[in-house]
Amino acid sequence: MSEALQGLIYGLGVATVPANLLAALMGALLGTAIGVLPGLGPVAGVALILPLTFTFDPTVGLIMMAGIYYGSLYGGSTTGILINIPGEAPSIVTAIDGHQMTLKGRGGAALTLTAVASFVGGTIAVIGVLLFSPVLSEIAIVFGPSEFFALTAGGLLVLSRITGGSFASGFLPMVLGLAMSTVGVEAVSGYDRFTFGTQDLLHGFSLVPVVVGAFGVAEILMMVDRYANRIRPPAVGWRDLVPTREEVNRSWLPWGRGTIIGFLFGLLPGPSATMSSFAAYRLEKAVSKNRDKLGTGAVEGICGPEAANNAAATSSLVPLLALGLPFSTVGALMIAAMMVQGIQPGPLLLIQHPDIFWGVIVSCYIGNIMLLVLNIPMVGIWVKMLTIPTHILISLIIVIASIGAFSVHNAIFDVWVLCGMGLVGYFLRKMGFHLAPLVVALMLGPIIEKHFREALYLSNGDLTIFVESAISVILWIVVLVLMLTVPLAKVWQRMSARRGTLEAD
Amino acid sequence: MKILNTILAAGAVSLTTLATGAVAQSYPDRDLTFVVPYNPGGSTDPIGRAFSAELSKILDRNVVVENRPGGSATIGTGDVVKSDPDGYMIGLGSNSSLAYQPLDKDNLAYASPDDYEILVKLVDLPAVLYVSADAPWQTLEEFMNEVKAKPGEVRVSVSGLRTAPDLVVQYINANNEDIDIRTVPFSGGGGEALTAVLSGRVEASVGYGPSIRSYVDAGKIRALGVFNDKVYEAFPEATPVSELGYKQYLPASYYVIAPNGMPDDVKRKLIEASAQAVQAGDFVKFAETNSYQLDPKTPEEAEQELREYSEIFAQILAFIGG
Amino acid sequence: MSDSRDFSTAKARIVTGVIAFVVGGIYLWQALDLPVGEMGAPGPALFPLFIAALIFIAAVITLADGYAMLSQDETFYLPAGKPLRQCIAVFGALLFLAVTLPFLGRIISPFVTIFIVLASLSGMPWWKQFLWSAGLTLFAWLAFVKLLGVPLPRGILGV
Repeated sequence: MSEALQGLIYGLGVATVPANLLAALMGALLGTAIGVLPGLGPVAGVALILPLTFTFDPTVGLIMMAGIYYGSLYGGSTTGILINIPGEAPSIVTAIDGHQMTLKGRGGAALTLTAVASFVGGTIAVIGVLLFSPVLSEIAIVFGPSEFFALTAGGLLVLSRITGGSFASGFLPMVLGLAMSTVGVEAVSGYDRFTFGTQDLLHGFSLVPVVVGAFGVAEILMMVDRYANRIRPPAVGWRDLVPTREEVNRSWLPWGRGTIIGFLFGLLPGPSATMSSFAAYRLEKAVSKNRDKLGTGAVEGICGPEAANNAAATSSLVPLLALGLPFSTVGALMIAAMMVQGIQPGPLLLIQHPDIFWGVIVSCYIGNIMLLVLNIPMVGIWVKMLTIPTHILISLIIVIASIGAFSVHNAIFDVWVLCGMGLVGYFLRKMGFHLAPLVVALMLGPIIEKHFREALYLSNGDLTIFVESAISVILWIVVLVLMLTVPLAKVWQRMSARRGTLEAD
Repeated sequence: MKILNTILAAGAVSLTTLATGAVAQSYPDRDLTFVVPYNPGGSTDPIGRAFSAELSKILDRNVVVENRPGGSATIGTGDVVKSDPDGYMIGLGSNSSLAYQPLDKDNLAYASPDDYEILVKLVDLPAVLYVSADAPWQTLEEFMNEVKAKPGEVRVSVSGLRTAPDLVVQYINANNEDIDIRTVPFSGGGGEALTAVLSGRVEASVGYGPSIRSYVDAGKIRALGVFNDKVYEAFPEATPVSELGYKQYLPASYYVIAPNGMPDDVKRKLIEASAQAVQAGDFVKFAETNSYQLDPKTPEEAEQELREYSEIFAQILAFIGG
Repeated sequence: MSDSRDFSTAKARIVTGVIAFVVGGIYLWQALDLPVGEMGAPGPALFPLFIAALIFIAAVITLADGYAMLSQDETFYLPAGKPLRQCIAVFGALLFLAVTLPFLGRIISPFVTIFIVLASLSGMPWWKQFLWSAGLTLFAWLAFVKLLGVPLPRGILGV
C-alpha cells in the first residue's frame, strides 16, 4: 500500500507539471471535438494525433493521447445520445437509452448524468488501481512465455468473438491483421518476410496508416455515400442540462454497480471497456428496480454502462502499462507511441519508467475532472460543432489523415497503405465485418509470435509447455468458455438487430 | 550548454595543442560527428558519449554524437566506413559489428579491417554467467559439473539469437567436448533474459555488468563466473573461467573507427587525440563505475585483435551451422 | 435514378471467403520460401505457417457463414448515381494527394485535393471553393509544417 501511495504522490508530481497539465487539457478538448465531429471516431482521432506526439516528451505524448481517448469517448456518448451515432463500441449501450431520453426531451439531462457517471467511475477506479499496483511487480515473475502466449493469443480470440456478429465477422479481420503483422524483417533471424522484394515493406505495416485508413477513410466514404440524408442535431439549452431529483436518485446505484463491474473487467487483460459496458447494462436489466423501463429512455441504462466503461478504461491502463499488451485499438496506439519513443512496453515499465506509469494513470484522472468541469458548461458549443459543413470536414480530414500517415516514417508508402486500408475497411464494414480485431491483431501479432517462439526454445520444441502451468490452463479454459458461450455477444446481437447495421468498432 | 562546453574545452585544449606541436594547423576547423550505431539510452551508447566528450576537450571542437541504430549496428558503422575521409566523421565499432556481422551478412560496406581505419581500442566488457539467488549452485565449478552431467539440458538465457552472449556460450560449447549448454534467446533485450533467471524458467543466464549490477547488489542473482582470463574487478566474486581451465573468453570489445584514406596528418592527429582521450581521468572513471575493463590498444594491436576475433567467430559459426 | 444499390450480404461473404483462400495461398507460397527451423529452434517460417492455416480456416468459416446466410435476405447498400460519383471523387482526391505529394509538394497537392472534394460535395460557387481551399491549405501548412515541423516534400517547384 505504501508503495502505491508513493506511486500516487509521484504520479501527482508528474501529472501536475504545467506541460503535462496542458497536455491533459489539450487532449480532453481535442478529444471531445473529435468525438463530437462526424467522420472521426475516437480511434481515428487518436491515430491521427499519434505521429504528432513523437516530437513531445513521451509522458506528455501519452497523457495527451489518453486525454484524447477519454474526451472522444465522452464526445462519442454525446453524439450517441443526441443523434444516435455512438463513437465507439462502449457508447453503443449508452446510446440505447440515451437517445430515447433525447426523443423524450431529456437529452440534456442524459448528457449531464453521463458526465457524472464517467467522473464517478474514473475516480473510484484510480483509487482501486492504487490498491492493485503492488501486485504488478510480481507479474513479470509469474508470467513466462507460455502464460503470455495464452494471454495474448487467447485474448485476441476473445476480442474477435466479443465484438459481435457471426464468428467470421471478427475472425477473418483478426487473421488478416495477424498475417499483416508478419510482413517485414523478422525480429530474430533478420529474414525478410512477405516483402516481395520491395524496400517499402521491410518495416512492415505501421499501425497509424492502417488505423486511420480502416477507421478514418472508411468512415468518410460511409459519410459520403449517405450524404443525402444527414441528421440534424437537436438544440440543447442550458436549462435542459439539469437532471430532475428523481433522475439523480435513480442514478446512484447504477453508478456504483457500473464502477465495480468496470473496474474488475478493466483489470483483466482483454477487451474490457466494451465487455464491461455490456455487462453493466445486463446487470441493470437483471437487478434494477426500473428494469422494465430499460431501452425506453431509463437513466439506469446510461449511468451503469458509462460508469463501467470509464472505470474499465482507467483500470485497464494497469494491464496495458504493466504487461505492455493492448486489447483495444487505442491501447495498441498507446503501445505504438511508447515504442516509437524508444520505451519498451512490458513488465519492466514500472521499474524502468515509473514516471510514465504513474504519470499517465494520475493524469487520466485529472483529465476526467477537466472533462466534467469543461464539458457540461460547453455542451452547447460541442453541439454547435455538429453544424460544421460536411464538405469542409471531409476535405480537412483527408489532408490531415494523409499528412498524419506520412509523418510516421516520412514515407509516401504509408499514404498508399492509408488509401488501401480505406477501401478494404469500407467494404469489410459494409459486409458487417469488425475492424477492431484487425488492428489489435496487427499490434499483438509480433508479441504472440515472440512468446510462441520463446516458449518453444524453453521446452526444446515440446508443445506441452503451453499448458504446463496452472495459469496457462486457467487462461485457456476462460478463453474456451467465452468462445463457446459468448453470452455477451448474444446480447450484442439482440441490440444490433434492433439498431440496424451500426458499426461497433 | 554548448557555449559553456566550448569555453571549458578551449582552456583544456590550448595546453594540449602546445604539447602536440603544430601538426595540421587547419584540422579540425569545424565540429566532428561521432556515430554511435546503437539507440540512445541503450547500454552501449554511454561509451561513445564518454569518449567523444574527452575527444572534444582535446581537439577543441564539438564532437557531436549521432545515434544511427539498426541492422545489428551495421547501418551506422557502414555510414562511417563510406563517409568522406576528411577526419570529420568517426564512429564507435565493436567486435560484434566489425568482426561478426561481416561473416553473417555479405552486403555490408566493410568486410575486414582493410576497409577502415582503427583509431584506438576503448574497453572490454567481459560476459558474466549468473544464476538466481536461490539456485543450488554456489560456484562456477558446481554449475559446470551440472552442465557436464546433463548435456543439452542446462538452459542459459541470452538477449537474442546470435547476439554476443549467445556466441560466448557457443564458443565454449564448440571447444569443449563435454560441454553442451542450450541457449534460449529472448528477443526483448537483456531485461527478459534476466527475468527468465529470476523466475526460474532457465537455469542461468549470460549477460553484461551494466545491466545486472543492481540485481546482484540487491541479492536477487549471483554472479558465478566470468568469461575472462583474470578476476573481473566489477564482480570479484565471480570465478574467471580460466581458473577452471577454459580458454574461451570472447568479451564485447569497443573501438573507434574512421574511413580509409584520410590525409596522413589528420589521421595522426586523430590517433594521438584518441589515445589521450582513453587515458583521460574522466574516461577512466567512467569505465570503472560502469564495469568496463580499460584495454587501450594502438591501431595496429587493435587490428590484430579484430582479425583474431574474425577467426573465432568463423569457428563458432561453423560449429552452430551458420 | 436511385442513390444506392442493395447487395446480398450472404453472397458478398462467399466472395470474400474465396478471396481469403487466394490470399492464404499466396501467403503460404511465400512462407514456404523461408527456413522453418525445428520445433526447439523455430525459424522465420514456423509462425507464418500457423497463420497460413488460420487464413484457410477463416476462409472456410466465412464461406460457411455466407451459405448459412443465403436463406436470410440480409443486404447492405453501396452507393449509386450521385453518391457513387461523390465517393469516387473523394477517394480520387485522396489518391491524387498520395500520388502527387512527392512532386507537386506540400502546398499545391493539398490545395488541389481540397478543391476536388469541395467541388464534388459542396454546392458553393467556384470562387468560394477556391477561397476555402486556399484557407484550409494555409491552415494545414501552418499546423503541420510550421507548428509541428513535419518534413513534407517540397515538390519539383520547390514549394
